Amino acid sequence: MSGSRTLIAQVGALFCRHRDEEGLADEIATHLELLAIEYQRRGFSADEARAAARREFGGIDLTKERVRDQRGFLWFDMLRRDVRYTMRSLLRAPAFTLAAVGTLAIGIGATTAIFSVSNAALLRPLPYPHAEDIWNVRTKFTDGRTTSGMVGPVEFTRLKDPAPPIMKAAMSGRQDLTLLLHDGTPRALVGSGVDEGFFPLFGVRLALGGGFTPQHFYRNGPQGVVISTRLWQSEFAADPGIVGKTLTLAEGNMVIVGVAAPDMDVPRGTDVWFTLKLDPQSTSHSYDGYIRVRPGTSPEVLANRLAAVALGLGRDFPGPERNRVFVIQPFVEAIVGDLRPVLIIVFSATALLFILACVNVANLLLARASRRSREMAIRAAVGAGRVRIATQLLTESVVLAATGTLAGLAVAFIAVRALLRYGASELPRLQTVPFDTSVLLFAIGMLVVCALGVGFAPMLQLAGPGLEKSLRERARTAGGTRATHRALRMMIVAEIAVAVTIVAGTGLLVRSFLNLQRNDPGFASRGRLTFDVVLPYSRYRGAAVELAWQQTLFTRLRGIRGVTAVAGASDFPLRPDSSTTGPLIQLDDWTDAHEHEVSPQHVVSPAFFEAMGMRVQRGRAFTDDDRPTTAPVAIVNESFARKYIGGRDPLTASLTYGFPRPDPRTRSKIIGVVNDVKYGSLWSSPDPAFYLVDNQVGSSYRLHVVVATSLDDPRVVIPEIRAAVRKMDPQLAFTVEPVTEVVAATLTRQKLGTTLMLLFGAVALLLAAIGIYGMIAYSSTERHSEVATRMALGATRGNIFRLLTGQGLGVAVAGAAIGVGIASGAGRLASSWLYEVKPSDPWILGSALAVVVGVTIVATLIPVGRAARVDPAPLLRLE
Amino acid sequence: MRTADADVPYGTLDLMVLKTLDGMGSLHGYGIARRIEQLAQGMLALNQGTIYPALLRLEQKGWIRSTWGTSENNRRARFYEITWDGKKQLAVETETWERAVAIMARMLEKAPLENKS
Repeated sequence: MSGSRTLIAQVGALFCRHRDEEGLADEIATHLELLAIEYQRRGFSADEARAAARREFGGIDLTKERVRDQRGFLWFDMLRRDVRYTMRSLLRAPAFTLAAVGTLAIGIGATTAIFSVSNAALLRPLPYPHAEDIWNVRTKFTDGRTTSGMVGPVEFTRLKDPAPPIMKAAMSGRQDLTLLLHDGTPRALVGSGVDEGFFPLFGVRLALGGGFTPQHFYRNGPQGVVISTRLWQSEFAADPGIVGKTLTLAEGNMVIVGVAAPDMDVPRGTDVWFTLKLDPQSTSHSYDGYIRVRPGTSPEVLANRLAAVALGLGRDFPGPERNRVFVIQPFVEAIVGDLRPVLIIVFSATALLFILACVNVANLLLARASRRSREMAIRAAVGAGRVRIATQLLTESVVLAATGTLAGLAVAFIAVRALLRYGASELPRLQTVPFDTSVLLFAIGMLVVCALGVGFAPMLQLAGPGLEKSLRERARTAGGTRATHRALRMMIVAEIAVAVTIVAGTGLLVRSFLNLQRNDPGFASRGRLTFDVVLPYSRYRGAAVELAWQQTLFTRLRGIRGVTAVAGASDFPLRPDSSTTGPLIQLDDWTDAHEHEVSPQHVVSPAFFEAMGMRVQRGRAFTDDDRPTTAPVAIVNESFARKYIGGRDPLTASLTYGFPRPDPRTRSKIIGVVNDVKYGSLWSSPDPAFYLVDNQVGSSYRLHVVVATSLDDPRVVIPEIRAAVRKMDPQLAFTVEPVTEVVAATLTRQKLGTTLMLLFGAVALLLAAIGIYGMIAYSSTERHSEVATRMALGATRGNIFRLLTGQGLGVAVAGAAIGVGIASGAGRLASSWLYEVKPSDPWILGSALAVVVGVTIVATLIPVGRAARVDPAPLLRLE
Repeated sequence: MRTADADVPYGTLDLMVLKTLDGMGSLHGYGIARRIEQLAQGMLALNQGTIYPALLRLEQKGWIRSTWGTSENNRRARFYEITWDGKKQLAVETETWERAVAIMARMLEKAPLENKS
């Protein structure tokens, strides 16, 4: 009890130090004067009295020191001295310090970066209350018919029925809008139409304004919009009086009725929420659906309710609803779904790296400690207790860990910024990754773990029972216990194995990425640009108007210097909205047994194949002579011809298409075959598809334009293209991109993954090298006396060399063997991510092995070379 | 870390200080040192400075408290007095000492001391 009271007093005393010292000085002065007075009364002279007083008092400074010790300053002073000594000795060994701090910085930095990303993306709760009770709803047919998979208003009218367990149901539909700025410049916005249940379902209050009223959802009611915080800040400078003002859109002006909360991000990326005015009985499946269920609802109860509703719908609307069922997915999963396994893998890999970094530093410390054992022995002899020595050693690891953590935080900061710049679009919820208190606490936690883990080994060795033995034996080194040695050797083997695995994995991914890049998508991308525009119905009524506009634009674009061809299409390959599915088709020679064949359909202008550098393999391309008045024609790609037309000459076949059934009125003669083009992704095989000409079937909602030039860098003509379009319609918002960038953009995710793996590989290699270096250096120092003796007995440098390298090689071989085994096994698991690369590709495994072994050899040679060059004489003299 | 004085182990010095203050009320450092020497009837000669760490220790444990005042030579000095906790501690330690002395006396077969407990 009194012990803790003393401790509290001691801690408190730290703060009043100066005052207390002064007080004591005063007290002592008073005491001395009183003593002197007494002596003077006894007959001493003033000087003699003072001297006698001082003698009787005893040592003044000694008294002050003892009081200081009792106050508890001593431990604080000692700590300060320890830290200063540690920093001095660390600065005297720059190579070691740099290696240790660098290793820790990388380990801690990488782990902290991944943690903050995971924290932001996964652990941070969604801003919607009880988000775990929200589900996404889609539909599908049980009889195999094709559907968009979306939901229709009639289904949600039924789901909104207040019957448990579903508490709320809502829909949204995406529509792109064009904002017109003050100067008339158009800007593309993401718009989402929502029904009246939407905002209440997600339960996030608006930042400003009252939001939608029931009137907004009436057929003839007013049109109001809610804008996002992002839009409010960027376009309206966070105007607090924004509610009631008008949003000027090319599609029509709307009144702003509210600003959404900053966190509100469903549907993802929405700038403007407007109201859907729906027919409650409509079966148009064009919307995304959401439901909120009562907390604690079991999946069976929910499934039963949904099945019951679906059954009722099928009965009442036999056409579109028969055999249609609901498919639900937890809302939370839909947002971060496929990210979780990736993050888990990456986190495990980083944690492994961190542990390896700590092992490395422990190794380095051991090597250093063995050189300091003499110093430690002397300290012990002069009276330092075991605890004192242990504290000193721990100070070193704490200082290293603290510096490493500070540097690591800087590394983490940079890493997160870089990660965001590269992959923010791929990783949801990462518009901001806060560097907040939880991240900081995590880093401090790592610091503590690291300091303890790393300092443990040298502490055990030097402050442990072996100390007395070393003193007695007067050996140069204390020598770690066998167990420590063995443990460290196994760690190094593991390090090498992991390094081999990671380097091999990197090799596989890099090869895969290169294959993808070299992949031929089926069209030419050099010298080409593309952009897309939406011609709003309000100003362009009818196919004829649209086509006329298009023709004029194309003529103007063709007039630009450098342009060789201009064409339009309903979709563009490798773009997110490219068609990978289409209407049902039927060839003229099919019987009813061929039901339910679906094929993507692309509507293009006649110059399309030429502009895209595609080859017409048989027959001809479309021409301007293919008009609404001439026979309907179609062109198929080679996969289509191979799959559906088989042995026949394609030019003799005809095709009909349509949804929900092929429409006989669309019967078109196949006039040509073109090469395959990958519309979906570079790594999937191209779909069979057919082309129609826009003159005959009309242009589509979104017009994609491709401009082919003969220039090396086609971007020089972008301003002229923009001017031409602006002259024709200043209210269209669009971006012009080189086609090469469109193709490269599809590989962003792979690029991110490959770059990460390259980083991991490099770091793992570096750590393995440092680890080997440390281990060999440590054992070489240990065996100095042995080396010296052998040399004195006649061993050559070569013999010594072989003796010391033998250890390193043994470890390297073991590690490499294990690593190769793991690498080939892991490669098989990851084969789904690899593109045209065999997981156990011998070239890659072999090069990984070579790289790691090479690094190992270099790391071994340096300390061994130094040890072998040592002059044995002074070593022997010291024995 | 042992700060033992050559003459007096610091455990007993604490006890002496407490006993002195118990009888004498409020004293400053010089006064306490002189008083202890008086009570010890010349058998003890301490270096007077050793009293200060002991006084701090006792104050940290809460057995004495100090206030600033003016000494008889008009200088600033701390005056110490015993607290209730200190009086309790004094009683406990006195009993412990007397028991130890009695046991040792019996063991050494010297003239039996009167058992004062």
